Amino acid sequence: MSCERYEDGLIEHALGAPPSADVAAHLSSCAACRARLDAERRLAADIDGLLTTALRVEPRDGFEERVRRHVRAADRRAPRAVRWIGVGAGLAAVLAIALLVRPRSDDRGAPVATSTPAAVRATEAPRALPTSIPVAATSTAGLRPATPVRRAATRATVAHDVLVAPDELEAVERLRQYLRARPSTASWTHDAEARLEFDRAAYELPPFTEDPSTGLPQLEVADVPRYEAEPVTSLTTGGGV
Amino acid sequence: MAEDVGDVQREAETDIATLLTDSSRLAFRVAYGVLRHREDAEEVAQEAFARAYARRFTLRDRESFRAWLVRLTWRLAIDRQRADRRRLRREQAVTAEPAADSEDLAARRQMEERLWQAVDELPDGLRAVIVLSAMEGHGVREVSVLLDLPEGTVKSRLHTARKRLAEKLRCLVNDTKTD
Repeated sequence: MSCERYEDGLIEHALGAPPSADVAAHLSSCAACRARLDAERRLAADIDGLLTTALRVEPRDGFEERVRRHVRAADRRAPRAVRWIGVGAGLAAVLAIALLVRPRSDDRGAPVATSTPAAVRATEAPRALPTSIPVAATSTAGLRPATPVRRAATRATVAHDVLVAPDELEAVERLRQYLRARPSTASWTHDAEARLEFDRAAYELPPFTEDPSTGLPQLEVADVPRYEAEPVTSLTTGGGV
Repeated sequence: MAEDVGDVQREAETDIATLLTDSSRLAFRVAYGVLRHREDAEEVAQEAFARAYARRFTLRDRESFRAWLVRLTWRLAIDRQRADRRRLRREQAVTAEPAADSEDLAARRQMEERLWQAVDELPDGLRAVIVLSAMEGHGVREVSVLLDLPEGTVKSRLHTARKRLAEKLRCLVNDTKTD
Protein backbone atom coordinates (compact mmCIF):
# COMPACT_ATOMS: atom_id res chain seq x y z
CA MET A 1 0.00 0.00 0.00
CA SER A 2 2.77 2.38 0.87
CA CYS A 3 4.24 1.88 -2.62
CA GLU A 4 1.26 3.60 -4.29
CA ARG A 5 2.30 7.03 -3.09
CA TYR A 6 5.55 6.69 -5.04
CA GLU A 7 3.92 5.62 -8.29
CA ASP A 8 3.86 9.01 -10.01
CA GLY A 9 7.44 9.75 -9.05
CA LEU A 10 8.49 6.30 -10.22
CA ILE A 11 6.89 6.76 -13.64
CA GLU A 12 8.46 10.20 -14.01
CA HIS A 13 11.79 8.65 -13.16
CA ALA A 14 11.29 5.87 -15.70
CA LEU A 15 10.69 8.54 -18.35
CA GLY A 16 13.98 10.19 -17.57
CA ALA A 17 13.32 12.64 -14.75
CA PRO A 18 15.70 12.44 -11.80
CA PRO A 19 14.06 10.78 -8.76
CA SER A 20 13.05 12.86 -5.78
CA ALA A 21 14.79 12.08 -2.53
CA ASP A 22 11.88 10.09 -1.11
CA VAL A 23 11.42 8.07 -4.34
CA ALA A 24 15.14 7.29 -4.39
CA ALA A 25 15.02 6.21 -0.74
CA HIS A 26 11.97 4.04 -1.37
CA LEU A 27 13.51 2.38 -4.42
CA SER A 28 16.61 1.45 -2.46
CA SER A 29 14.48 -0.48 -0.03
CA CYS A 30 11.66 -1.88 -2.24
CA ALA A 31 12.40 -4.67 -4.73
CA ALA A 32 8.86 -4.60 -6.16
CA CYS A 33 9.15 -0.94 -7.06
CA ARG A 34 12.58 -1.49 -8.58
CA ALA A 35 11.02 -4.20 -10.77
CA ARG A 36 8.21 -1.82 -11.63
CA LEU A 37 10.73 0.86 -12.53
CA ASP A 38 12.48 -1.58 -14.86
CA ALA A 39 9.18 -2.51 -16.49
CA GLU A 40 8.28 1.16 -17.00
CA ARG A 41 11.67 1.82 -18.52
CA ARG A 42 11.25 -1.12 -20.89
CA LEU A 43 7.83 0.17 -21.89
CA ALA A 44 9.22 3.65 -22.58
CA ALA A 45 12.07 2.12 -24.58
CA ASP A 46 9.62 -0.06 -26.54
CA ILE A 47 7.53 2.98 -27.41
CA ASP A 48 10.55 4.95 -28.56
CA GLY A 49 11.87 1.95 -30.47
CA LEU A 50 8.62 1.25 -32.25
CA LEU A 51 8.18 4.86 -33.26
CA THR A 52 11.75 5.20 -34.42
CA THR A 53 11.62 1.98 -36.41
CA ALA A 54 8.32 2.83 -38.03
CA LEU A 55 9.57 6.25 -39.05
CA ARG A 56 12.75 4.91 -40.58
CA VAL A 57 10.66 4.13 -43.63
CA GLU A 58 11.86 5.21 -47.06
CA PRO A 59 9.73 6.42 -49.92
CA ARG A 60 9.41 4.27 -53.01
CA ASP A 61 12.05 4.39 -55.70
CA GLY A 62 11.88 7.46 -57.89
CA PHE A 63 10.36 9.62 -55.17
CA GLU A 64 12.65 12.57 -55.72
CA GLU A 65 12.05 12.49 -59.44
CA ARG A 66 8.29 12.47 -58.84
CA VAL A 67 8.62 15.46 -56.53
CA ARG A 68 10.72 17.24 -59.13
CA ARG A 69 8.06 16.62 -61.77
CA HIS A 70 5.36 17.81 -59.39
CA VAL A 71 7.27 21.03 -58.71
CA ARG A 72 7.66 21.63 -62.45
CA ALA A 73 4.00 20.88 -63.06
CA ALA A 74 3.04 23.30 -60.33
CA ASP A 75 5.24 25.90 -62.01
CA ARG A 76 3.54 25.25 -65.34
CA ARG A 77 0.09 25.57 -63.79
CA ALA A 78 1.06 29.08 -62.71
CA PRO A 79 3.70 30.25 -65.20
CA ARG A 80 5.77 33.08 -63.96
CA ALA A 81 4.94 35.36 -66.85
CA VAL A 82 1.24 34.96 -66.14
CA ARG A 83 1.68 35.15 -62.41
CA TRP A 84 3.64 38.34 -62.62
CA ILE A 85 1.96 39.92 -65.54
CA GLY A 86 -0.86 41.34 -63.46
CA VAL A 87 1.51 42.60 -60.84
CA GLY A 88 3.88 44.04 -63.37
CA ALA A 89 1.24 45.59 -65.52
CA GLY A 90 -0.56 47.06 -62.54
CA LEU A 91 2.70 48.39 -61.23
CA ALA A 92 3.59 49.96 -64.55
CA ALA A 93 0.18 51.55 -64.94
CA VAL A 94 0.06 52.89 -61.41
CA LEU A 95 3.61 54.15 -61.72
CA ALA A 96 2.94 55.87 -64.99
CA ILE A 97 -0.30 57.49 -64.01
CA ALA A 98 0.84 58.49 -60.59
CA LEU A 99 3.97 60.07 -62.01
CA LEU A 100 2.14 61.81 -64.78
CA VAL A 101 -0.59 63.29 -62.67
CA ARG A 102 1.28 63.44 -59.41
CA PRO A 103 0.35 66.59 -57.58
CA ARG A 104 3.08 69.09 -56.93
CA SER A 105 4.25 69.60 -53.41
CA ASP A 106 2.11 72.70 -52.95
CA ASP A 107 -1.19 71.03 -53.85
CA ARG A 108 -0.52 67.57 -52.34
CA GLY A 109 -3.49 66.73 -50.19
CA ALA A 110 -5.45 69.83 -51.07
CA PRO A 111 -9.01 69.47 -52.31
CA VAL A 112 -9.26 69.30 -56.06
CA ALA A 113 -10.82 72.37 -57.54
CA THR A 114 -13.62 71.94 -60.01
CA SER A 115 -12.96 74.96 -62.17
CA THR A 116 -9.24 74.95 -62.94
CA PRO A 117 -7.85 71.70 -61.69
CA ALA A 118 -4.12 71.91 -61.12
CA ALA A 119 -3.70 68.19 -60.82
CA VAL A 120 -5.68 65.02 -60.79
CA ARG A 121 -5.10 63.09 -57.63
CA ALA A 122 -5.28 59.38 -57.98
CA THR A 123 -7.18 57.14 -55.62
CA GLU A 124 -9.01 54.58 -57.74
CA ALA A 125 -7.22 51.39 -58.67
CA PRO A 126 -6.57 50.94 -62.37
CA ARG A 127 -9.05 48.70 -64.13
CA ALA A 128 -6.97 47.65 -67.11
CA LEU A 129 -3.69 48.29 -68.80
CA PRO A 130 -3.03 50.54 -71.77
CA THR A 131 -0.38 50.03 -74.41
CA SER A 132 0.47 53.60 -73.83
CA ILE A 133 -0.82 56.15 -71.46
CA PRO A 134 -3.31 58.20 -73.39
CA VAL A 135 -3.91 60.30 -70.31
CA ALA A 136 -0.49 61.80 -70.76
CA ALA A 137 -0.98 62.62 -74.38
CA THR A 138 -4.41 64.11 -74.18
CA SER A 139 -5.21 65.44 -70.80
CA THR A 140 -2.13 66.72 -69.08
CA ALA A 141 -1.73 69.66 -71.39
CA GLY A 142 -5.24 70.71 -70.59
CA LEU A 143 -4.90 70.10 -66.92
CA ARG A 144 -1.63 71.92 -66.56
CA PRO A 145 -1.47 74.47 -69.30
CA ALA A 146 1.19 76.51 -67.53
CA THR A 147 3.65 73.71 -66.82
CA PRO A 148 2.71 70.61 -68.76
CA VAL A 149 3.76 67.42 -67.04
CA ARG A 150 5.11 66.09 -70.32
CA ARG A 151 7.83 68.65 -70.25
CA ALA A 152 9.12 67.29 -66.96
CA ALA A 153 8.75 63.66 -67.92
CA THR A 154 10.79 61.46 -70.15
CA ARG A 155 10.08 58.18 -71.86
CA ALA A 156 11.48 55.32 -69.85
CA THR A 157 12.79 52.09 -71.26
CA VAL A 158 11.72 49.93 -68.34
CA ALA A 159 8.19 49.22 -69.45
CA HIS A 160 5.67 50.02 -72.05
CA ASP A 161 5.35 53.71 -72.64
CA VAL A 162 5.67 54.52 -69.01
CA LEU A 163 6.56 58.12 -68.50
CA VAL A 164 8.97 58.61 -65.69
CA ALA A 165 10.14 61.85 -64.23
CA PRO A 166 13.89 62.37 -64.60
CA ASP A 167 14.49 62.16 -60.89
CA GLU A 168 12.68 58.79 -60.76
CA LEU A 169 14.64 57.11 -63.53
CA GLU A 170 17.44 55.86 -61.36
CA ALA A 171 15.05 54.24 -58.89
CA VAL A 172 13.06 52.59 -61.66
CA GLU A 173 16.23 51.27 -63.25
CA ARG A 174 17.32 49.86 -59.90
CA LEU A 175 13.96 48.14 -59.55
CA ARG A 176 14.29 46.69 -63.02
CA GLN A 177 17.77 45.34 -62.34
CA TYR A 178 16.63 43.94 -59.01
CA LEU A 179 13.75 42.07 -60.64
CA ARG A 180 15.96 40.76 -63.41
CA ALA A 181 18.52 39.46 -60.95
CA ARG A 182 16.02 37.20 -59.22
CA PRO A 183 15.13 33.89 -60.82
CA SER A 184 11.54 34.18 -59.70
CA THR A 185 11.00 37.41 -61.58
CA ALA A 186 13.59 37.25 -64.34
CA SER A 187 11.25 35.60 -66.78
CA TRP A 188 8.61 38.11 -65.94
CA THR A 189 10.87 41.01 -66.78
CA HIS A 190 11.76 39.36 -70.07
CA ASP A 191 8.28 38.25 -70.92
CA ALA A 192 6.53 41.31 -69.68
CA GLU A 193 8.49 43.55 -71.97
CA ALA A 194 7.29 41.53 -74.92
CA ARG A 195 3.80 40.56 -73.95
CA LEU A 196 2.04 43.21 -71.95
CA GLU A 197 -1.00 44.37 -73.79
CA PHE A 198 -3.24 47.01 -72.46
CA ASP A 199 -6.78 47.98 -72.99
CA ARG A 200 -6.59 51.55 -74.12
CA ALA A 201 -10.31 52.18 -73.88
CA ALA A 202 -10.37 51.56 -70.18
CA TYR A 203 -7.92 54.36 -69.65
CA GLU A 204 -9.45 56.96 -71.88
CA LEU A 205 -10.53 59.95 -69.89
CA PRO A 206 -14.06 61.17 -70.34
CA PRO A 207 -14.41 63.66 -73.18
CA PHE A 208 -13.95 67.28 -72.32
CA THR A 209 -14.88 70.49 -73.99
CA GLU A 210 -12.99 73.63 -74.70
CA ASP A 211 -13.34 76.69 -72.51
CA PRO A 212 -14.38 79.46 -74.96
CA SER A 213 -12.70 82.18 -72.93
CA THR A 214 -9.28 80.55 -72.66
CA GLY A 215 -9.38 78.06 -75.47
CA LEU A 216 -8.20 75.37 -73.07
CA PRO A 217 -9.96 72.07 -72.56
CA GLN A 218 -12.34 71.82 -69.64
CA LEU A 219 -12.39 68.70 -67.60
CA GLU A 220 -15.17 67.48 -65.37
CA VAL A 221 -13.02 66.52 -62.45
CA ALA A 222 -15.75 64.49 -60.78
CA ASP A 223 -15.65 62.04 -63.68
CA VAL A 224 -11.92 61.58 -63.71
CA PRO A 225 -10.75 58.20 -62.48
CA ARG A 226 -8.78 58.62 -59.29
CA TYR A 227 -5.60 56.69 -58.82
CA GLU A 228 -3.67 55.81 -55.76
CA ALA A 229 -0.25 57.45 -55.74
CA GLU A 230 1.29 55.88 -52.63
CA PRO A 231 2.85 52.79 -54.28
CA VAL A 232 5.05 55.09 -56.30
CA THR A 233 6.46 56.58 -53.15
CA SER A 234 7.50 53.16 -51.92
CA LEU A 235 9.06 52.30 -55.28
CA THR A 236 11.10 55.43 -55.54
CA THR A 237 12.51 54.88 -52.09
CA GLY A 238 13.56 51.38 -53.03
CA GLY A 239 11.10 49.42 -50.88
CA GLY A 240 7.86 47.62 -51.38
CA VAL A 241 8.94 44.80 -53.71
CA MET B 1 18.87 37.73 -72.77
CA ALA B 2 18.51 34.09 -73.86
CA GLU B 3 21.70 33.32 -71.96
CA ASP B 4 20.29 35.01 -68.89
CA VAL B 5 17.18 32.89 -69.05
CA GLY B 6 19.30 29.75 -69.51
CA ASP B 7 21.37 30.68 -66.46
CA VAL B 8 18.26 31.26 -64.45
CA GLN B 9 16.83 27.90 -65.47
CA ARG B 10 20.06 26.07 -64.66
CA GLU B 11 20.21 27.84 -61.32
CA ALA B 12 16.62 26.85 -60.58
CA GLU B 13 17.39 23.21 -61.42
CA THR B 14 20.38 23.21 -59.09
CA ASP B 15 18.21 24.81 -56.49
CA ILE B 16 15.57 22.08 -56.75
CA ALA B 17 18.17 19.31 -56.69
CA THR B 18 19.81 20.63 -53.54
CA LEU B 19 16.56 21.15 -51.70
CA LEU B 20 15.23 17.79 -52.84
CA THR B 21 18.23 15.93 -51.52
CA ASP B 22 18.24 17.89 -48.32
CA SER B 23 14.58 17.96 -47.38
CA SER B 24 12.22 15.83 -49.44
CA ARG B 25 12.70 12.66 -47.37
CA LEU B 26 12.18 14.61 -44.19
CA ALA B 27 8.86 15.80 -45.58
CA PHE B 28 7.97 12.26 -46.56
CA ARG B 29 8.71 10.93 -43.07
CA VAL B 30 6.73 13.68 -41.41
CA ALA B 31 3.77 12.85 -43.62
CA TYR B 32 4.27 9.15 -43.00
CA GLY B 33 4.35 9.77 -39.24
CA VAL B 34 0.81 11.04 -39.54
CA LEU B 35 -0.61 8.85 -42.29
CA ARG B 36 1.41 5.60 -42.06
CA HIS B 37 0.67 5.03 -45.68
CA ARG B 38 3.56 5.29 -48.08
CA GLU B 39 1.77 6.47 -51.21
CA ASP B 40 -0.36 8.96 -49.32
CA ALA B 41 2.70 10.26 -47.52
CA GLU B 42 4.54 10.69 -50.81
CA GLU B 43 1.67 12.65 -52.30
CA VAL B 44 1.43 14.95 -49.30
CA ALA B 45 5.20 15.40 -49.19
CA GLN B 46 5.45 16.34 -52.83
CA GLU B 47 2.62 18.82 -52.57
CA ALA B 48 4.19 20.37 -49.47
CA PHE B 49 7.57 20.49 -51.17
CA ALA B 50 6.15 22.21 -54.25
CA ARG B 51 4.49 24.83 -52.08
CA ALA B 52 7.57 25.35 -49.97
CA TYR B 53 9.73 25.56 -53.09
CA ALA B 54 7.52 28.28 -54.52
CA ARG B 55 8.21 30.29 -51.38
CA ARG B 56 11.89 29.52 -51.10
CA PHE B 57 13.01 33.12 -51.63
CA THR B 58 11.03 34.33 -48.67
CA LEU B 59 12.72 31.80 -46.38
CA ARG B 60 16.03 33.09 -45.23
CA ASP B 61 18.12 29.90 -45.01
CA ARG B 62 18.17 26.11 -45.09
CA GLU B 63 16.83 25.74 -41.56
CA SER B 64 13.95 28.08 -42.24
CA PHE B 65 13.09 26.17 -45.39
CA ARG B 66 13.15 22.82 -43.59
CA ALA B 67 11.16 24.15 -40.64
CA TRP B 68 8.55 25.65 -42.90
CA LEU B 69 8.42 22.48 -44.97
CA VAL B 70 7.94 20.33 -41.87
CA ARG B 71 5.14 22.47 -40.50
CA LEU B 72 3.42 22.67 -43.87
CA THR B 73 3.75 18.92 -44.40
CA TRP B 74 2.40 18.23 -40.95
CA ARG B 75 -0.61 20.44 -41.55
CA LEU B 76 -1.35 18.94 -44.96
CA ALA B 77 -0.99 15.42 -43.60
CA ILE B 78 -3.30 16.10 -40.66
CA ASP B 79 -5.84 17.63 -43.03
CA ARG B 80 -5.62 14.62 -45.28
CA GLN B 81 -5.96 12.21 -42.40
CA ARG B 82 -9.03 13.99 -41.13
CA ALA B 83 -10.57 14.20 -44.58
CA ASP B 84 -9.83 10.62 -45.48
CA ARG B 85 -10.93 8.39 -42.67
CA ARG B 86 -11.59 5.62 -45.12
CA ARG B 87 -8.02 4.80 -45.84
CA LEU B 88 -7.95 1.23 -47.02
CA ARG B 89 -4.88 0.05 -45.31
CA ARG B 90 -2.09 1.04 -43.07
CA GLU B 91 1.35 -0.09 -43.64
CA GLN B 92 2.92 -1.96 -40.84
CA ALA B 93 6.43 -0.94 -40.12
CA VAL B 94 8.89 -3.34 -41.62
CA THR B 95 11.29 -4.15 -38.86
CA ALA B 96 14.76 -5.44 -39.21
CA GLU B 97 14.37 -7.61 -36.12
CA PRO B 98 15.53 -11.20 -36.18
CA ALA B 99 12.83 -13.63 -37.19
CA ALA B 100 10.31 -13.95 -34.40
CA ASP B 101 7.85 -16.70 -33.93
CA SER B 102 4.31 -15.93 -35.02
CA GLU B 103 3.06 -15.27 -31.48
CA ASP B 104 5.72 -12.67 -30.82
CA LEU B 105 5.05 -11.12 -34.19
CA ALA B 106 1.33 -10.90 -33.52
CA ALA B 107 1.93 -9.34 -30.11
CA ARG B 108 4.33 -6.83 -31.60
CA ARG B 109 1.90 -5.89 -34.33
CA GLN B 110 -0.87 -5.45 -31.80
CA MET B 111 1.39 -3.27 -29.72
CA GLU B 112 2.32 -1.23 -32.74
CA GLU B 113 -1.27 -0.78 -33.76
CA ARG B 114 -2.25 0.35 -30.29
CA LEU B 115 0.72 2.65 -30.14
CA TRP B 116 -0.21 4.48 -33.33
CA GLN B 117 -3.81 4.64 -32.20
CA ALA B 118 -2.59 6.26 -28.99
CA VAL B 119 -0.36 8.63 -30.97
CA ASP B 120 -3.32 9.64 -33.12
CA GLU B 121 -5.32 10.43 -30.01
CA LEU B 122 -2.72 12.84 -28.68
CA PRO B 123 -3.38 16.54 -29.04
CA ASP B 124 -1.68 17.97 -32.13
CA GLY B 125 1.06 19.77 -30.22
CA LEU B 126 2.14 16.63 -28.34
CA ARG B 127 1.81 14.45 -31.40
CA ALA B 128 4.08 16.59 -33.57
CA VAL B 129 6.77 16.63 -30.90
CA ILE B 130 6.79 12.88 -30.29
CA VAL B 131 6.76 12.02 -33.99
CA LEU B 132 9.53 14.44 -34.92
CA SER B 133 11.62 13.32 -31.96
CA ALA B 134 11.40 9.73 -33.11
CA MET B 135 12.49 10.71 -36.61
CA GLU B 136 16.03 10.87 -37.99
CA GLY B 137 17.52 11.11 -34.51
CA HIS B 138 16.17 14.61 -33.93
CA GLY B 139 17.10 15.98 -30.55
CA VAL B 140 15.21 18.59 -28.56
CA ARG B 141 17.06 21.42 -30.28
CA GLU B 142 16.25 20.21 -33.79
CA VAL B 143 12.59 19.73 -32.91
CA SER B 144 12.42 23.17 -31.35
CA VAL B 145 13.82 24.69 -34.55
CA LEU B 146 11.53 22.69 -36.83
CA LEU B 147 8.43 23.57 -34.85
CA ASP B 148 9.57 27.04 -33.85
CA LEU B 149 9.05 26.30 -30.17
CA PRO B 150 11.26 26.98 -27.16
CA GLU B 151 13.36 24.00 -26.15
CA GLY B 152 11.72 23.95 -22.71
CA THR B 153 8.31 23.58 -24.34
CA VAL B 154 9.56 20.75 -26.52
CA LYS B 155 11.00 18.93 -23.49
CA SER B 156 7.83 19.32 -21.51
CA ARG B 157 5.60 18.23 -24.40
CA LEU B 158 7.82 15.27 -25.12
CA HIS B 159 7.64 14.16 -21.53
CA THR B 160 3.85 14.54 -21.41
CA ALA B 161 3.42 12.70 -24.70
CA ARG B 162 5.57 9.75 -23.60
CA LYS B 163 3.74 9.59 -20.32
CA ARG B 164 0.35 9.48 -22.04
CA LEU B 165 1.49 6.82 -24.48
CA ALA B 166 2.85 4.74 -21.63
CA GLU B 167 -0.48 5.03 -19.81
CA LYS B 168 -2.34 3.79 -22.86
CA LEU B 169 0.00 0.89 -23.54
CA ARG B 170 0.70 -0.25 -20.01
CA CYS B 171 -2.46 -2.34 -19.89
CA LEU B 172 -1.56 -4.04 -23.13
CA VAL B 173 1.89 -4.98 -21.84
CA ASN B 174 0.44 -6.25 -18.59
CA ASP B 175 -2.27 -8.25 -20.43
CA THR B 176 0.30 -9.83 -22.69
CA LYS B 177 2.40 -10.88 -19.73
CA THR B 178 -0.51 -12.44 -17.85
CA ASP B 179 -1.72 -14.41 -20.92
